[in-house]
Amino acid sequence: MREILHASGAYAIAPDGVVHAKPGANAPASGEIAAQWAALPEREIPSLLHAVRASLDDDHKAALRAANIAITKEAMRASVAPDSHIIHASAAIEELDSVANRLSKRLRDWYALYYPELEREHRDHKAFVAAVLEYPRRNPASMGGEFSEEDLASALSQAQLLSTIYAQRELMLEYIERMMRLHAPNVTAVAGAMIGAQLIAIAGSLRRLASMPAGTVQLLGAETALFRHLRNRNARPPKHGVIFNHRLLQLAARERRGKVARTLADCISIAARVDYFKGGLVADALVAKVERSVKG
Amino acid sequence: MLKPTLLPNTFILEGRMARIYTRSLTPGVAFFEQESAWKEGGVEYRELSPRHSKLAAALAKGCQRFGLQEGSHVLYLGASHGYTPSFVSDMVGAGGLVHCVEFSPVVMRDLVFVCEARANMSPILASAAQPREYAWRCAQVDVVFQDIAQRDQLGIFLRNVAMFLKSGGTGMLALKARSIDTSRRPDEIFRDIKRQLGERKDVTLIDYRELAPFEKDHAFFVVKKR
Ligand SMILES: C[S@@+](CC[C@H](N)C(=O)[O-])C[C@H]1O[C@@H](n2cnc3c(N)ncnc32)[C@H](O)[C@@H]1O
Repeated sequence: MREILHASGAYAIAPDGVVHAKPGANAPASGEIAAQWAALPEREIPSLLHAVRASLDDDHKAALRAANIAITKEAMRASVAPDSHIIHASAAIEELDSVANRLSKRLRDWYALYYPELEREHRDHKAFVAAVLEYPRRNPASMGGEFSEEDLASALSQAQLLSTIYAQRELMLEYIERMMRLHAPNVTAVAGAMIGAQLIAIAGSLRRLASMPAGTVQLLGAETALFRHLRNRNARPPKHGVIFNHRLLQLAARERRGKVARTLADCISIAARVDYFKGGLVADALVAKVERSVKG
Repeated sequence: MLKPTLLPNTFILEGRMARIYTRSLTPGVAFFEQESAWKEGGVEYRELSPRHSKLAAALAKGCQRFGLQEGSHVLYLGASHGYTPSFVSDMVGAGGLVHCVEFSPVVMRDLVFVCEARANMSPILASAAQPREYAWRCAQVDVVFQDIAQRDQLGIFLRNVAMFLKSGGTGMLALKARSIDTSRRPDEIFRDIKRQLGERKDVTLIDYRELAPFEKDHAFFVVKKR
């Protein structure tokens, strides 16, 4: 008599192949059941599943469901990996940037009613916000209109909020840098913390990034352009996605960029594999390779 | 007035093919934002939208064969947040069982809450492409339903049908052309899948619907296992 374990209970198989549920059997540990099933020949499985189904009375059904809820919850707990944090923090930066951009434009238009000269002087949003908070009172020769105390305080409170958003962005960036150096040191060295984090976010995880061909890594973040090209062959194929912002790619001469992008993607891809399999530091050689490709 | 349909515990509003309701297994509890309730004769029904569910779209498009009955056991592949699975759970009723396979932990979160509220739903966090991984947490079923956007949708479906579906059972495949090949025309892909199913010895194609206008570039294939 052979015994087969299942998430709904235990079953006995008689030598003639007849399977029946063993009453009152406790739900065994899932690791043990999974190992037993992994060793079963594939052709035996449908008939075992048929036998399990035939024994699935209300009690076995309830046991199966309870076991699955417990197993799933455990797997959910285990699925929260460091890259989940990296992905959310990098998405948070993108949201902060887009909010900061919109609020800054609004503040510019508002504050320019009062002090247009200051608005004009600072083209960079962050510098503009800092200047507003530093010089809330304008030059008397300004061509701006009158603001009451309350008008001014309201506009300034928006500037306060923006400066908090910029500080928050710094915090998130530092966090990403720490997390990336810890969990993906090679990707961080080759791609940079932020680009590396964006690649992990688009791929969905470090594991998925590590299992992608370099050609795919090169185009991560360029999906819209890629689909446009696939649908309409007249549209030019994209050469790079988020890696476009990489320092070395920006340094490269225009006609070398395609080649540099390929080498960079190759090296990021290797770095991701080494990081995923915790293989130590190989980044120096990879960075040198990318640098060589820039010079040609 | 609600009128019965080919699906168990499922009704349409008289004269309106696209207004579909199931008798609720959990009166008073709604699970999804887009869900609305209907009361008639002291019974509560939940509205199933063909714009959010390919099963409902297939019903609205006149599909005749589903194989679902009160008490059926169903393997649901690509259960997502549990929207359609929760209605399949209404359809098969307390005596049925819906094994819900989903591989994304993000959407599984919602699905676990739905399963906990419904005694006939059982969650499985796994990839449908690896049926052996979850065979020990599942059993033979009367119906396999698959709605996953994957390149190898057909192969995954057939492997699950081979492993879990009883002989004579029904398999439903909601197919998304764009995830198979973005550069080929959807009707070409549908024809190709029909041909592939037609050549098989283990299943027979018994119904086929295109799901427009509810879902663009999707088709619904129903097979019976021999
Ligand atoms: C279109 S949604 C399903 C919607 C659902 N059937 C409904 O109507 O409520 C597709 C789901 O399949 C899941 N999926 C894709 N590939 C899968 C696979 N290989 N194994 C399990 N789930 C998969 C996705 O995560 C996604 O949640």
